[in-house]
Amino acid sequence: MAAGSIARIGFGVLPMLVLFALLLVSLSLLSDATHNSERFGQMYSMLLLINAAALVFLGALVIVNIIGLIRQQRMKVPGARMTSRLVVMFVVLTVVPVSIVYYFSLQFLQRGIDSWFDVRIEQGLDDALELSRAALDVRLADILNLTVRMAENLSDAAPATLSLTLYDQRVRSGAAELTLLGGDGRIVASSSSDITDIIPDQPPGEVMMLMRNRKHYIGLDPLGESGLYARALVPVLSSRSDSEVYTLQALYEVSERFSLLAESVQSAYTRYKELAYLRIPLKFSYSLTLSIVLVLSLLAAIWAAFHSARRLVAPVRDLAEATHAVADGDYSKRLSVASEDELGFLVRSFNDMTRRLAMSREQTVRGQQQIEGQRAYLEAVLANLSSGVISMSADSVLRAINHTASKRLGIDARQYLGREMSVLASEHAYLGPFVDAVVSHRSQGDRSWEEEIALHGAGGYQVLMCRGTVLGGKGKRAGGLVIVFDDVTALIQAQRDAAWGEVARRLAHEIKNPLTPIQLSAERIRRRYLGRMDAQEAELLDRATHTIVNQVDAMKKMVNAFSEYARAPNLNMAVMNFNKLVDEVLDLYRSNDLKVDMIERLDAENDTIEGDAGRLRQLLHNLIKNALEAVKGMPDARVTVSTRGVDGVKNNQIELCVEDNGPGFKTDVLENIFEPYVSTKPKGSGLGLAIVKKIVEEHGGRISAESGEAGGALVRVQLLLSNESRSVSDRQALS
Amino acid sequence: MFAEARITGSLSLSTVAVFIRRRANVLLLSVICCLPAQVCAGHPGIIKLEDAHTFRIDSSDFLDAQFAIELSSGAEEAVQNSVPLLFELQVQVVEAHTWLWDSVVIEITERRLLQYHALSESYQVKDLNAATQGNYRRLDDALRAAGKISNLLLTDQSLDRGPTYSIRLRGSLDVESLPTPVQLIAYISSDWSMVSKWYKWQLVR
Repeated sequence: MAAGSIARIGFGVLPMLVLFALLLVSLSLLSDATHNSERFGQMYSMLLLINAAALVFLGALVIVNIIGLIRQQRMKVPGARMTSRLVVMFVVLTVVPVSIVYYFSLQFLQRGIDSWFDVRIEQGLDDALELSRAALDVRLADILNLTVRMAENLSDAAPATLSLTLYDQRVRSGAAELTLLGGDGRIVASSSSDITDIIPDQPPGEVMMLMRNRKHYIGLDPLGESGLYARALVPVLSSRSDSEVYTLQALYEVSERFSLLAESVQSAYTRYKELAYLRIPLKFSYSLTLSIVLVLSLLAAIWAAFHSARRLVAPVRDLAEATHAVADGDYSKRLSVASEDELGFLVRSFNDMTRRLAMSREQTVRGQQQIEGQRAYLEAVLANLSSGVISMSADSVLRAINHTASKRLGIDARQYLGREMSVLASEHAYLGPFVDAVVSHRSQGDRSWEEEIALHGAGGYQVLMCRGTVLGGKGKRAGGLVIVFDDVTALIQAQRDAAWGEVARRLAHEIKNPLTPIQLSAERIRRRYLGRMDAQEAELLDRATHTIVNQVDAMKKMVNAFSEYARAPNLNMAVMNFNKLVDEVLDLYRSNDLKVDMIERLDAENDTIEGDAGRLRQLLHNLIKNALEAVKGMPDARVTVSTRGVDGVKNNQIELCVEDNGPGFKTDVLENIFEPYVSTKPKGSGLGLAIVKKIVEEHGGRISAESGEAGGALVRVQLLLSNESRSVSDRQALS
Repeated sequence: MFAEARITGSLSLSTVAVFIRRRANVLLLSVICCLPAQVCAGHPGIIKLEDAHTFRIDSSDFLDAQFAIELSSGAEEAVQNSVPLLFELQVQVVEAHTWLWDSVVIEITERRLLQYHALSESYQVKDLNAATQGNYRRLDDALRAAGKISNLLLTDQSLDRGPTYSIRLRGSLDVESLPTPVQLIAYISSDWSMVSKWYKWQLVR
């Protein structure tokens, strides 16, 4: 599940924690800077920039995370939906309280800052300032008056004595500095109480402008660190009309107590004014700081939400993927146990489960393999068994038919597996006796039975020795039936042949051997006594010995014929064309003037058989002779010899029909027509058809006799074509 | 002993740097903040060089200069509310190189603090370099005093006579020295962005 693995967007926990710690420090510095401009005021803009950069970074991180999550959801990556649900939950859980806190913080901030400022305090400070001014104004008025008087005193002073006069006036008035200024602002004379202060303090330009209009000036000047000074400028009006108009500048030190109080009021007023002015920017900067803190916290929280959601979902996703794999049959999946909590327990349980599943599957597979092996073994045994085996269920449905069985019965086993047994009989009429036997034993409730069943099937005449056993037990096979059968046709044939051979040997031994002495004795009696006897007796003797000799001869012939029949054949099997053989034999009969209509219809296209040509010739001779004898003397005597191909059950056969229009077989002999010494002819050995049957059986064929449609007799001989010669050879070997 | 001075305006790297920094701040903060109404009101502040000349006394060069400073309405309001304003008048003597950047040989920053004194209802201008102080009834006079440089020693005999030197002059309001809450607004608002261009002329000796 490569696609399933969620791409880890983001960073590790440790770097992020460090980043958050730095961010926290930066935020606290920012907040400190907002409070106290002395310490961090210089860093404020830098801090703001750093925090804004962090904001952008975190924002980008969150956006990347969101995009990644959306993409994963579209690709249906396992765990993506759960992750997004968790993220949404976490974000909502974070955003709602933080937003509420933010809202109320803003409110408190605005109102708190506003509440610092009070109209009454402002008014009070204004009044205090005004009061200070009023108090100073009284002092300033005195100083101005004093200065005016000093200016009057100076007006009459001679230029040479100006410095002295100034000094005198200063000492007397208690001024800190007295300066006499020319019309162009130059210093004419000066006297100062501070001997280190060489350069006298010059009045501002605007005051000098005022002086040009010969007006008085009194003002308060804060002079650096040395406190408040009162500056008074008064024109010195000289009595001489041509002389230059001087200006007297007097600087008085305001008393220390006054100065301190006034400065205190001034600084408090200034501070308050500044603060009042800074109220709005302050609110703004506080709000900004708060907002940055909020947004940073939110973004960090969202990132943390992504991180924790992913961490939470990771084991669940792994479980889901592993479950999928297990469902697909991969039991090798093992998950690593990352935690000791419930999820860890779940993962451990999952691992246990897959291990057990894998073990049980392995056992099952092993068991199946064993079963398969046993079945293969059984199948091999059954297939190679020379006995036919058929098994069926309790409801007579065929379950197994081995190769030998299908060959013996001439059926295709695959067609009938899973079907009822009765289908065999309905589709193959020759299997009727077999099916009937099975059915009858079942209906009788025989648990175990044995029966010999004769079939005229595809492989010719067959005798099957069947043994049936009803299966016991309690399984699904209970009540089923196993039928094992062997083809004992050849065995029976061999037994019969052996029996007939024994009979023939006995006949030869017990009958044929005495016949020769009997014949010789009869001939000697005749030779010895025929000449000595009279004519009458001689004729009797002659007739009697003649009869003995003839009968003995007949008996000899009979025994020979029987020996011939019973003799174990020594077949010379060869591949030949059956039609050609038939044609050759018929040629012998056609050349004779028999007055019989010989009809030859050799229609079989495939006539290649494996057989003994001599024996088959004998077969044809016997059959044709029989037919000719049957129609002998009839006006429209007709003998038809025909061959045709016959489709057996699974092999082709050739069928020879010899038909005549004679009297036909009598019904009572029809059943035993092929047994020895059964004959419809007044003369005959009674072995003709028996030999024919024997030859047919030697060739693995079938023979049947019936009365023709228009009277007459019909003998059918079916022989296997040469592709089935193997079975013939088998038979031969057996017999 | 007076030498004529030619005044040329040129933009130096440090100007660009300051400009970029301030613009970046403006951009950044305007994105994340909603601006208070105070920020964008009234006419803008101006600092420009009105007059400048150098003169030589005993192989030393001196500078007299006068910057015309007009406060923006926001800055004026701040001054009226006893917020001190710090003006910086930067004077640089620059040695010109043909291929390299110009190198600053001498840099003097004249710092003038303007503050309203409520008790005397006057404006104080403190020369922080010379530690002197003047009181002015009118703001205009105070601003002229704040923008005035007189008899500033630029070079003396120790300075090599070989290469050509230029004088560069610039006046500005120091935003960093403002109270922190105002700083923030000063970064955002053009109202508080009071800085002249660099005035540059060749020192003729």
